[in-house]
Amino acid sequence: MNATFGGLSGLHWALLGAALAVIGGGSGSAMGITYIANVAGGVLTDLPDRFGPLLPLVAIPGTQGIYGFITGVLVAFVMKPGSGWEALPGWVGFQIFLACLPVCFVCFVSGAYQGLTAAGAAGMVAKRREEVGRALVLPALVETYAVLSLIITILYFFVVIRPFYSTLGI
Amino acid sequence: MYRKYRLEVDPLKEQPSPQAEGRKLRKLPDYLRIDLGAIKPFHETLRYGHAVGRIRAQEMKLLMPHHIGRLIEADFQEALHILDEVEMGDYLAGSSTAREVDDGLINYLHDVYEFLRGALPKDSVLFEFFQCRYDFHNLKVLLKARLEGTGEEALLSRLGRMDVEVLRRGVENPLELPSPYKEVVMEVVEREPSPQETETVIDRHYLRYRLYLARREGSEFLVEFARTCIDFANLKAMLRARRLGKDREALQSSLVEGGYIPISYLLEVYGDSDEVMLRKLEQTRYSSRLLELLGEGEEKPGLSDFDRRSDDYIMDMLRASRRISVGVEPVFSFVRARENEVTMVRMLLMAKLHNLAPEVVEKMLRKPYLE
Repeated sequence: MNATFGGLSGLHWALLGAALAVIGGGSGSAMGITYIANVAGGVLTDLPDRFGPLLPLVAIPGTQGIYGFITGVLVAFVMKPGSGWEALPGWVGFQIFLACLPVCFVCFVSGAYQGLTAAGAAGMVAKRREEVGRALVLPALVETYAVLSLIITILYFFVVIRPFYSTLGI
Repeated sequence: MYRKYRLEVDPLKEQPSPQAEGRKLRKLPDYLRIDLGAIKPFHETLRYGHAVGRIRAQEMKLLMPHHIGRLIEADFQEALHILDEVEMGDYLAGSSTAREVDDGLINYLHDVYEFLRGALPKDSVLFEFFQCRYDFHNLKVLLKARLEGTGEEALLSRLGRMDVEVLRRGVENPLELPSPYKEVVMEVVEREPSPQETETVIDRHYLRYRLYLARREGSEFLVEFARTCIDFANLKAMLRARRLGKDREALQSSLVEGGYIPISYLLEVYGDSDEVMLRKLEQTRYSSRLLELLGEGEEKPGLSDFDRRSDDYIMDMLRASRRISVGVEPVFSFVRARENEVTMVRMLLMAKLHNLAPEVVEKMLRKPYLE
């Protein structure tokens, strides 16, 4: 059994994947929230009563950061801490790393673009308070792809990678 | 300007580590280089997001088409009551003379510009783009008053950025003025032109300065606007020159470079018959409805019609920018819509004071921003 893959141990690959997922998701969310918060701040300067309807719009790009965080936590479970992490072969660690990539990239891009979409939708809420429902639907559509990437990552962890463990005896 | 701080991302930047010394890294081809500054939505959202949020909150307070329809039919007092339904009404309350209407509208416009100043990012040139018009106007008034030896107080605008006293001193000593006003005064002093030529010189500097500001901002939309304004100024000069029977040299001195239609082309078509000139100009980017005025004889509509149609053309251009959710475009269009609103209300109220018929008033009006 190869302890390393590409010069890195399984633990290193898995941690790299987890870190990238958290960094990608978190950065995308931070960018997205900055965009919409910028516009929402302008609306609130003149219409402070729109805080309630604008809050979901500002918060919605934050979900990508949560998906990155979930992925990071799941990696810890997938590495099966009870059996000793050093036992994880390099190529399995590399698989975990690959499984983290969908969340890393999709959440980074969708978080930023969701912020832009929400910034456009904030104009609707500024003009008509009652449009908040429709305004929320538009950025929520961008969310679909972040959710799909998280589903794929989880699927890889528990359906593709985890079964290898029993064959390896860890 | 912010363009200077563009982040150029080159993932394989040629900076070998000390360990890799001697090994040469291959540079990425241009098509693989990413320029984050060129990804406009992100960049513009950070720059104009706050301003866009503020104007979105104000857009519902604009004059709506139903207001305009009612204003056309109303008499002066009723018109003031209708205007009470929008923000402008507060500024016009109690007005009964043309002077009071003018004062009210100037105060309103002043507050619009103050709002703009508060909303825009510090490094934006948009505020200067709008307000330099009044500084050039004041300079024009002062220089013409100096040439003609007349008083100027009544014609000066208080909407400019520069203090009138500074401009007045600058007319005597141009070096005290900042660019581009310094160059304007120096050119006028050097050439000692007639009042009409003075006006042409100042207009040329004004249009070119706006194009410069637009380019500095790095916005294609602003550049398009500035270049279109230059084209309209040139076409108007051509219309005027044709009506006055001026020769080509006289026209050339009043044309401004920088528009979409080259000056050489305008001069070339100037000598043609009305029909040929119109056909050639229709090959440019402007609609035949706007250009047909150029081919019409003396008894046909005048320069004010050209102004109205060119304003409508620009309004169509601004309306097209409404689908852009965040950026310089919505902010620019909003302020321009406010200016258009002031022009319309002034026209309407003056017509009411002079008891013009609604049909006549309707023909004079520009297209509104919101439909």
